[in-house]
Amino acid sequence: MTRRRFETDDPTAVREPGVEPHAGVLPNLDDEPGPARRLSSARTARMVDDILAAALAPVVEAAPPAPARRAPRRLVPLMAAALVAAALVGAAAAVVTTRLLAAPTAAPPAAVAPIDEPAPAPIDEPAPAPIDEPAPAPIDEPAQVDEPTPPRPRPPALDRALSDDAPAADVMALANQRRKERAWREADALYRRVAARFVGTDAAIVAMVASATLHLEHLGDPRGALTGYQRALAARPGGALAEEARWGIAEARRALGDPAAEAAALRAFLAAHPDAALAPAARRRLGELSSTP
Amino acid sequence: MTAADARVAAAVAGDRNAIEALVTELLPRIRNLVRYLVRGDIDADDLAQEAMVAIVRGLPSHRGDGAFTAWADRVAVRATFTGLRKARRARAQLDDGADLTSVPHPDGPPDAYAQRRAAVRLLDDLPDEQRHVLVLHHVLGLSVPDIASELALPFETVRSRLRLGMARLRALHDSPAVGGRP
Repeated sequence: MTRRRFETDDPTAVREPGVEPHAGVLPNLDDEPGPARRLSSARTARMVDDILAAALAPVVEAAPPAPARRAPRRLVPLMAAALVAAALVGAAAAVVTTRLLAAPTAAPPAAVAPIDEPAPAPIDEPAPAPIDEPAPAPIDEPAQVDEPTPPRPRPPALDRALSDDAPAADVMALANQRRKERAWREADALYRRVAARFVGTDAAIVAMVASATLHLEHLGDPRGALTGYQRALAARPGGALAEEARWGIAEARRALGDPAAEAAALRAFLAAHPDAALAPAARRRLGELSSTP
Repeated sequence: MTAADARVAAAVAGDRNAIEALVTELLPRIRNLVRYLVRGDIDADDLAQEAMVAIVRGLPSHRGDGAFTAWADRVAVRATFTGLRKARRARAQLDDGADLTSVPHPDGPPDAYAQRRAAVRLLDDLPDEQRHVLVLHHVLGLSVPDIASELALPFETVRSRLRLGMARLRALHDSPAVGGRP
């Protein structure tokens, strides 16, 4: 059992007189269960996996200062997006979102979709391509099939997510699942489906940012990413994901090899979010840009 | 050096297995700490996960002086307050409404679990500023000067919040209307 500091000899660590709680109302933090709700061992194991994946993946500060490159993986914004998604698209989707938005951050670069594949549809199209059209691989079948295989029945959850009246949470959960499976284009099509079907909602903003991140990090399309982040920011300039969108704009500008625009984006980020977790990284990058002839 | 100290040292040095063992061991404690600080179970789990990530990333800065759990608690508190500030901007806190006070915990005495669930439900009715100083003082055992430093508040403000918060907590505890003593 951990000793309370007011039980030590430290003269500054004295319990404030007159504020004694009722016995047991505020017990010392120890190894007993509660007050956090109980978790199954499987859920605990998943949580540990998620924490390790997020914490041990490369961080943005370690990125080499190349003038134009693929954007560094963005752990904090993704976690924030997952947090917000948790609130916005429902508790069931939240668990999936938290795991799946974080999961690809630990993926090796070799798994990223080849850039010489056909360019993805621009993210600012009026409406996303229906996912059952030929462009992306059918989402209920493997992306590459060597020989004909009999069609598999769709699971009920998938049918629900693809129906016209599917709630945003179901579509988001499926998109996150596809993202986890590194089916980037299918995930992107689903995110864009949410953004188009639920215009003006919080879920649409989350989906726009998630789609833009896919374009930046996995689809080799920084220009599409830039458009996506800009649309998300324009829709909610002071919204929950404004920070992620502003940071994404700077990353997309960097990936496009436009240092002047990147610097402007970083300054805008710092002006709007001076206390953000990525603010130190933004200042460092601005310093690099200013010292580059 | 104890086995626990050796594991912490290995984790600080970057040993993945040691880090995983440490995360597994610390997670229940940090979840409990965050739940004391945060209203609602869903937010608590999300923020506990962020706090654990902050702890793992902060391992290289752990200098080994003092108890490791005390250091981890501090990191978790800071990460939680940062997450709360962010969440506050984003939305009002959610209440998932799940009442698990009657569900016995599989790993411990059901009475203790139920009692602590009841305690945080009382805390849920306190203003955040009072709740936070009460938890830091009574649950973590931080002194008033330490809390003042941690929260960047004047000493007297912390004392005032402690007194007001405890008075409110006592009233809630003794009130049958909010689930206190009959």
